[in-house]
Amino acid sequence: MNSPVLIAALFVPLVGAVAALLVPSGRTRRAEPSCRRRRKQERTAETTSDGSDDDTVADPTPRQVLEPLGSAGADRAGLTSRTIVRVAALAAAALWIGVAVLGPSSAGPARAIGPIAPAAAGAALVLAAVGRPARRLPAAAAAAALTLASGGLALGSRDGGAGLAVTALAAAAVVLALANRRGSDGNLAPSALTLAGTAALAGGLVRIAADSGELNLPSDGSMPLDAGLLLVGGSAMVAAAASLRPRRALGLLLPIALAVGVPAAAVLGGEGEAVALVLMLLATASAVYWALIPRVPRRDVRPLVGSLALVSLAAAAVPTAGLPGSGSTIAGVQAAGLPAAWLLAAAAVITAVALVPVAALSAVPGAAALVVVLIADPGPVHQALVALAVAATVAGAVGVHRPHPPATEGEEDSHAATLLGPLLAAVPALGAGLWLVIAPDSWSWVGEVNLFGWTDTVAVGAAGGLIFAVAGVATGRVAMPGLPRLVGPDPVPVTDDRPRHARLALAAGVALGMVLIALLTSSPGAS
Amino acid sequence: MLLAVLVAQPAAVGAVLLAAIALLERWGTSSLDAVAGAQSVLGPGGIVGPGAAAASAWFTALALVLASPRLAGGADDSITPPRTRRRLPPGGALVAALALGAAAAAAVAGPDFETGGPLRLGATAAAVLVAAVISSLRRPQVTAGLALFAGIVAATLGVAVATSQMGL
Repeated sequence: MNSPVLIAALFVPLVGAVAALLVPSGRTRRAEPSCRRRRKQERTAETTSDGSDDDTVADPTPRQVLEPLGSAGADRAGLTSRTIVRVAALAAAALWIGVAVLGPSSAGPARAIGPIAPAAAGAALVLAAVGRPARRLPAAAAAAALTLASGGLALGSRDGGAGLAVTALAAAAVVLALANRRGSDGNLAPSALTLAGTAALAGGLVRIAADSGELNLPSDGSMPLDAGLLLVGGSAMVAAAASLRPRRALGLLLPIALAVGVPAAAVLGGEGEAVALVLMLLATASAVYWALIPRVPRRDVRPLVGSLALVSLAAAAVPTAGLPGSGSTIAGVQAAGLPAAWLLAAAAVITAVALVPVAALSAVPGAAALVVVLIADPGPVHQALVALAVAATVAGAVGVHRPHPPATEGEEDSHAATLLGPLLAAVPALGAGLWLVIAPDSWSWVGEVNLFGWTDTVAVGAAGGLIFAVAGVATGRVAMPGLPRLVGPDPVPVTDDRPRHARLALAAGVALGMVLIALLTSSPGAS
Repeated sequence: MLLAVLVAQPAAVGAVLLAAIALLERWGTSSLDAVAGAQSVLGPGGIVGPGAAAASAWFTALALVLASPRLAGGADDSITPPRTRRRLPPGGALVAALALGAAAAAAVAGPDFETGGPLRLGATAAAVLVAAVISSLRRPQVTAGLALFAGIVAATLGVAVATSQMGL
């Protein structure tokens, strides 16, 4: 029963991409003069204006007349394409959630086990929240990138498939970088960071293949340190870049990067402590940056998303001997922080979709699970990690309470005009976040969370709060609270500037190409 | 953790988190039921065990009650602009005081109701009363700062107990 759902989930974004491409462009090409004729007309116009001294206005060229009409048509085509892609992404998200709920499934070479379906659902939800640039080609490219990334995860879950997953991620990153440039999205630095991160991921796999002759993550602690650092560092780079562009197509790589990076961090073994410390330091710095730097508006929760993503990678990298209460030692070197890492990764994706600080509350169970794991084995590094986690949480609270100027009327109008699309993605994401806060134990794909009595405590607290709230409202002692904002505005300014950092992106792309060639030649099947 | 969401003020959030960590360090579990079960066997947390562990329990309770959010009204409202003013309505503050007081009582005198019902009920009533009184004070920054200090001391003592294997 699961196979058709899995197949549909894999192909729906592709159908969306094709449908978006088939939308008529809206440009009246036939009436538009060719480039050669246009240059000739421009030369003629220049000659005429230079040679005459009168003040008569020259007749506009056919292009000048037709451009507004063509531009309006192109805008409509772009909006239609975006709508098609959004519907396809929402459908894909629903299908992937269905796959996650139904349990492990397979269809041909594709498999959906563990975090694959949730990660693909997260990527689809992030894409469903994307509204800009409203152009045909970037919209179709984003849907194609979702197909590539989620398909790569599903195909890469079989033995020796890690190379396929990373290659698909690299292809998605390249497609998104090209679409980003085509879409006049201004800043190409996040694309460059994504490409560089993907190159690092591929480099890590090359190192593993050179060491073991296989393209699997070793689960027995035999992974070379440099390979592990490349894998975790590459994932962190891609996740950070995706966190910077949550309402752009690049954001869909956030869950994919975490789905690749968390398992890699979990097999770092004893070396994971230092990696976790560095990642946690970066996460705390990001939270402090969000909380204390005045020029970062409170509404811009991108640093919070990045912080959560880094904390999830750090949680996965923490090696620990056992868990409190269970009395059992975790077998092998597999990090016991893995469930906490998945919970935190889910919170990062939920926050990236909704882009409101309240969504970050979904990180509470993950943070609690992480603290439980860290305190189970109280060493100096673990205590430092706990202290950093507390500091990051306090910084988050400071950021929420920081005074901020009220949104201007123009900002409110702009937000209201673009509200519906992101809201359609934010509602299921926040629903998943609520589910996560209430019953983290029911997220079986993350593993054993070990938060004893969590759901009961939440239920008792919620019931008590509700009783007091109803009583307070009924007696008039408490004003009826307003609904919090469910979706945040687009934090990335819309620019039509020429693409910046294009050379950086090109260099990163070239590096990625070289590493991919090395990966293809070093894979076990190549020889 | 959930109490940290309830208090919402940054310093108080830190205090509650550190208190939770101290509790976790001492009893090795995040389950209040498990903590109550352990105290039913070993004795109330504020009395039993090495001095550092008992002191950690008392500082944990202190941090929790001092973290109680303020009732509506007070002199400080004139300082902060209306947009940034954060205050709970009386009902909300009472809920927070009840929850924090109950948690504080569980840290110091929290055996099962079956084995130590009167002790726990009395401790809970006293802690809730103290938390409610603190939430009515006019200097929330001072109480939150003191709560943070108490939380740091509690967590430090908890870490000392846990790392030196001083037992429960």
